[in-house]
Amino acid sequence: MVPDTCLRLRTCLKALDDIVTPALAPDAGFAHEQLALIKKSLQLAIDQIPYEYVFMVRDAQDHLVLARDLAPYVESGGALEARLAGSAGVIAALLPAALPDLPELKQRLRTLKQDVEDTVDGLCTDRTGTELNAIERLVLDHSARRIEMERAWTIATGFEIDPSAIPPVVELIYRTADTPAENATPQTRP
Amino acid sequence: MDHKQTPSDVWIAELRARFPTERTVDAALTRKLRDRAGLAYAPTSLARMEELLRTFFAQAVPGGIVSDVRPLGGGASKEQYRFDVAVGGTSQTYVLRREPPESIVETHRLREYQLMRAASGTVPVPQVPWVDAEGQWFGRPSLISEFVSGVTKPPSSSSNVSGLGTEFSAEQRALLGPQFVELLARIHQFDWRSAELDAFDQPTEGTTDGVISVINWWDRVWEEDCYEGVPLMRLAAQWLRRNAPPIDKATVVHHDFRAGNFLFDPDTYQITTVLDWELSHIGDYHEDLAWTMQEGYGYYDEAGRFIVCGLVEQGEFLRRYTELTGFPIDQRKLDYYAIMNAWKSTIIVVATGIRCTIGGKSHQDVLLSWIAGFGNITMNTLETLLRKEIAHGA
Repeated sequence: MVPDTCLRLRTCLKALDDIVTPALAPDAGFAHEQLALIKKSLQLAIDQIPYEYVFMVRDAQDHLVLARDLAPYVESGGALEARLAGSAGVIAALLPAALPDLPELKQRLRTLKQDVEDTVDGLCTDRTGTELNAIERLVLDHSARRIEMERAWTIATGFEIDPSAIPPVVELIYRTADTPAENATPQTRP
Repeated sequence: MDHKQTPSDVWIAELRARFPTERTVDAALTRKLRDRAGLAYAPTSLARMEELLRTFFAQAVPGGIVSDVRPLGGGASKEQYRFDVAVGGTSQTYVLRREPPESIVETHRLREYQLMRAASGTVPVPQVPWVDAEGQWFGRPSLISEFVSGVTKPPSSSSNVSGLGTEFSAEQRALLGPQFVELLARIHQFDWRSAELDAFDQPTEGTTDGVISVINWWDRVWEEDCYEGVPLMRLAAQWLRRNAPPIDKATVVHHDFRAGNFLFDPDTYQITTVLDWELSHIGDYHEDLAWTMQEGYGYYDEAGRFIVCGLVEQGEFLRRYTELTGFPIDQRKLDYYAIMNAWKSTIIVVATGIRCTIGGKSHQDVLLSWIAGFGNITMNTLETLLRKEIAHGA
């Protein structure tokens, strides 16, 4: 995904610094105050976005611990015990097994993408006939899925001729029909 | 760590050897890489711009007085300033186009300068009296042209950035459409061999040399600029190499002839000038036709007919073009260049545009991050067209 949201926000900050700030009248005090807050808010968002998901996961973990520690003090068989057990159980089921390292994932994903691109480059250079055709179809099918997702992700940029033809991005992200098997690893030809 | 932000001499040399292309294209791309680790874009104050212009005009037009320096909006790739120069009571308005540290398209000012001067008289273009090809006067390579009045879109029209998706009424289309086709025909009929175009390499007709040179140009740009791998882009590059058609008739290729890149008088709807020649080269006219006919630049009307650049129905566009030029239209070549152009458009907005914003290198970083959304449209076109060709066994 390029640009990611942080990069997009950084370009907004830069435009405010380079173009908008110098264009404001020096005596427009309220506008300058607002602009300063907007810039600080954008910077805060840039800093937080990479960690927002894990921050929430950590928040959930901490509350699960407290719920567990409070449980012995709650009246057995009461309504509160059932509520606490119910909501804690739901959250526990939703949490990932380990706290994900999102910046690490992002960096490793970039490496994988480059390796896949280089593999396609090499295969398209030295394969022919039906083998080449099969490789081309694999890449095209993969591309069709990714492009649909990217179009949905950036639909608000307004470049789609018929935006209604693009499914909502959330629907695509959670669509299970074409979700790859977990931990699928490449098996190379012997 | 992103090694592309700090290119090594070894990597640059490897890219130049791997992707041989035109001399001045190579020069512009190599300069970009060598400067990449340098400073980000920082705006120049108007006082400083005026100082630079005064220093330049002191030698270019002795006695000329520079005044009224103002930034111009638009211009996704180059900074633009308008200013006046008065000599002996007569004042003339000019436009300075200056390269930012990196641009959504990295091109050579000498190419733009030579081609605009050569095309003058064939099609309406701004007069270009001066070029600072190496940035000796303005800190970065620049071009000075006469200011031409006009608008890029009807006053009431809505459009996205960079003139994409400009809407014209039926009446406006009737006025602008025929001129639009005629200007493209004239560009392609232009006798470039008699012009001073030594910044351009000439492709050999009857061979694929010129096509491979263009593929190398853009394949190199992808390699230099892309932030992350996209398998489709390599598939496309390899397909383009395997299926390159020979150039039977070499013409000037404007390379960005579309709505948004010409000015017209909003009262008479007369086209006053053709802009944005920076990607021009000598090649196959089908490349230009396919560029102008890109889906992202036009729309489908109620009858399902494609309106090229929102101006001319596609069948009429090609029929009129053939009438004017006498050039045959080879549908296979149009299909080929449609794929090449979708590939190039994707490289421009998804690779180079984003690379600029990563380094904070341009005056239009916020626009470049926005226009990356258009790359999903061009990539979709690329995937669709390639799938069709591959299904037919190409």
